Amino acid sequence: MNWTDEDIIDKIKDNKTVDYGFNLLLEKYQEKVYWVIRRMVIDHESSDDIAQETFVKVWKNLDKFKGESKLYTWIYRIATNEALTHLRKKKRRFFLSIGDIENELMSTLEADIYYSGDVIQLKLQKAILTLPEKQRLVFNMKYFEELKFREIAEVLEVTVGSLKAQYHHAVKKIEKYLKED
Amino acid sequence: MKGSNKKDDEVVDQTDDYVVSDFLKQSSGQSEFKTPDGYFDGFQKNVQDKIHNDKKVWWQLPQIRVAFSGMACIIVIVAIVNNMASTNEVVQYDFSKDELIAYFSDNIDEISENDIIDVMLDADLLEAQGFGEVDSTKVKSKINEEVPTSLYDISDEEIYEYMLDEGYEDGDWDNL
Repeated sequence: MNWTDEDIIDKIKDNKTVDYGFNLLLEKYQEKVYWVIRRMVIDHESSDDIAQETFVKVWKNLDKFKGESKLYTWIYRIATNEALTHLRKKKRRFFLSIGDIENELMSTLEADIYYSGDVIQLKLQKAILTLPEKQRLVFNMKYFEELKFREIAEVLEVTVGSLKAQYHHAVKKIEKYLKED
Repeated sequence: MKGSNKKDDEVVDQTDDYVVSDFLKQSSGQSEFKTPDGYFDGFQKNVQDKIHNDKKVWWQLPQIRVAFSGMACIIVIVAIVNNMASTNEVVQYDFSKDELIAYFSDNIDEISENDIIDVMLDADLLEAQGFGEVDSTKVKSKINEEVPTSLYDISDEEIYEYMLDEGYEDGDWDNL
């Protein structure tokens, strides 16, 4: 059965079915959340930790979810915040500059046993890794996760106009990288 | 992965999407990122385990920890203040003469005469020897006046009287 977000929320709000509702939520969103995180932090181990932590936070804050935003945008917001926080911590921990973190992520990508992209895919990923974090996030959500600008705007709490501009800039940078290299 | 024929009513400039998708046409098109086999089958269980392991016992709750820390601080402060007050009490305590006499009478065997003399002020010493109340600033000069500092300061008459008092007859001490 394909559960809607409304069905899941109803189950979660009922004390008798809260665990069942949360399992439905996990089943529906575990992969989507994982892939958003994975494309940001690149390596599987970190992505796994962050994805689990995202759902732990979702569970702990279920009572705070008032339904003002959509369930999936709320979950995506937690996931993207966790991923960005992870990257910032990594920068601080290893005293990395923006350029260094790009290089570090590229090295991780090349060494990752769970990455099997061909030369073209690897080149595209390297181009994406040259983008600033927020642009990278927007590009991944738009291009790979196929979210609409309106939905991404809700997740990142920015205007649709600024998102379109960011996406456009991101694509231009990627295009330039692919043509140059 | 997204294809170039995707319909998205929000895409203003579709050339943005075509740039990347055209580039990716050269690729094998297979999924590039992978996960370990069966990873998503065990994901729910891992999250549930993490949630249950995260449940803290009551004494680990932040509110309880803050309350306990506060109480511990208060106890330490009260103990320190009490300790300071009791120390001052001992210092400021004024023993009466009777109490001191009673104490020294009970412990007289343990205290030698020299111990007492060592700790007594010169003024107290003179007072105890029957000189009445003595001004401590004048003690030294008084001691110099009353106590001869050398045998040559004693006159022959004084020696004579002393020897008679000690039971010697006139002339007996010539043979000493």
